[in-house]
Amino acid sequence: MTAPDPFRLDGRRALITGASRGIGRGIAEAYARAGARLALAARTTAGLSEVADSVAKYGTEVHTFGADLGDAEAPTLLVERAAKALGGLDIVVNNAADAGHDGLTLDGYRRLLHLNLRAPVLITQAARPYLLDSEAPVVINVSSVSARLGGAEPYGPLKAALSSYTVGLAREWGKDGIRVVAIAPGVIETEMTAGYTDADWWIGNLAERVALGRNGRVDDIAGVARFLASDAAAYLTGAVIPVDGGWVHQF
Amino acid sequence: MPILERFRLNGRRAFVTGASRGIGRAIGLALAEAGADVALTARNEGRLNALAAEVEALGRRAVVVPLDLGDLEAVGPAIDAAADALGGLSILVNNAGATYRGGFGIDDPAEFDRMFDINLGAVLFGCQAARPHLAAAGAGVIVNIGSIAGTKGAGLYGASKQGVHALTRGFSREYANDGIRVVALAPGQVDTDMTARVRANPAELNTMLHHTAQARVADPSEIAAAVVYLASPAADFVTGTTIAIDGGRDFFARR
Repeated sequence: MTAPDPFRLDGRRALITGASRGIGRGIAEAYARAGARLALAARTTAGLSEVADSVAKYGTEVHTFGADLGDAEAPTLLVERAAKALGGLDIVVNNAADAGHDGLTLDGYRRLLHLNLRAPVLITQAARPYLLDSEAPVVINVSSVSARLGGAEPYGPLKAALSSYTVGLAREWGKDGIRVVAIAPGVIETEMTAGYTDADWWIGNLAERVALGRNGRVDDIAGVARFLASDAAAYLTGAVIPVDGGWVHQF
Repeated sequence: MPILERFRLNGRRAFVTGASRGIGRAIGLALAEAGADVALTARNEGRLNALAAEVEALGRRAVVVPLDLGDLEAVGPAIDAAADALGGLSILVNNAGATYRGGFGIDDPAEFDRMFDINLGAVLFGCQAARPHLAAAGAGVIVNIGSIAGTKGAGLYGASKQGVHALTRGFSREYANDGIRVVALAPGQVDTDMTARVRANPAELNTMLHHTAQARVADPSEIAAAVVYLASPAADFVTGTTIAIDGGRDFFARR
């Protein structure tokens, strides 16, 4: 018998928000392949059934939940339902977000504040008792490269807030053995960024400013999210990991 | 221009939020001393009137604008009214801040909303409302008061302040088209009413001082001095950045 593979997630109970498409769906697929049991959330369960069918080939358990996470009560309720279905929680992935093209209106600002920041905080807070019972608890927040650089206000500033929260909470919860990390994706090809990746000004930036010279793919994020959730990352907390193809050409 | 003249703010018109106490009060006085007329906003009209009298004693004009920044719809009209009263605006100082008792959690969604509205939302909408006035004045400057609580990760208060730092970077690119600079300061511990609760806790104060190179807290005027610099032509090539003024704070000790 060989030693267990530290990159596997066999039996781990993971809640993933925004799992019906894009990065969230990619993380769900990666976790299922690694052996995790899944609770997947999205605005409607309709979009999730396709994801559930897709990951069925890995033979793992999948539960789906419809939740409007911008609502004040929904995040806590989602955690309770997910934890009940899975018998606890080991991994929480706060991925759901709205890019918001109306963020400079009062309604738009408030919707983004609630979905992009309040929801992850409420979910993480509700998950704490379950994480305290876990052997390998971890919270993974999906931030953005715009947390460092600003942009799409208030999307960027709210991602900056999520990154700051991640770093600070890692300090607070470290003594309980709970890891708290964030991923800061660059431009990843998803429905959310479709208007962006097709724009001439971005295509120019891509060639000149991104070290790898290409947009990211969902799998580029999913692989890092799997690593961060696994025992291979057991000593990694309080970090915001850029996964952006190298935004190094800033001069 | 002689070097010290570049630090003058003669003829400038500034809008300062949270001006009734602490850092905001010091900023209002410092801008006036440097030559600017000031619009002073806060909730407490009585304290603003007292400050306005001090500004006028310095030979500058002061306009008092009572405003609760938690009411985001009131921000734009207040800025427009101040610009009317002063005959334009070239400096916006987003200083007002709300503390947060909830740490990293949310027990009361209304309290969370209010804190974020004052610390980030009012900056967002204040910048937008001030932009046409600053553009019209030419050489406009926005100075946002962030916090090292943001860079270090200190509760949801810190999260809101890190949002301010990112907003500063993002708007610096956008507003440059209008000749407007957007900068932020990240103060460490400053001797104000707002932060008295932290310093009243001996253990917390000692830990903090232990992690500050200078082992002291700042006087509000030490933040105001940096605001004068950033608002002045001396800082004409400074935009987008967040400058820490924290006595050499290194990192928060794990509690």
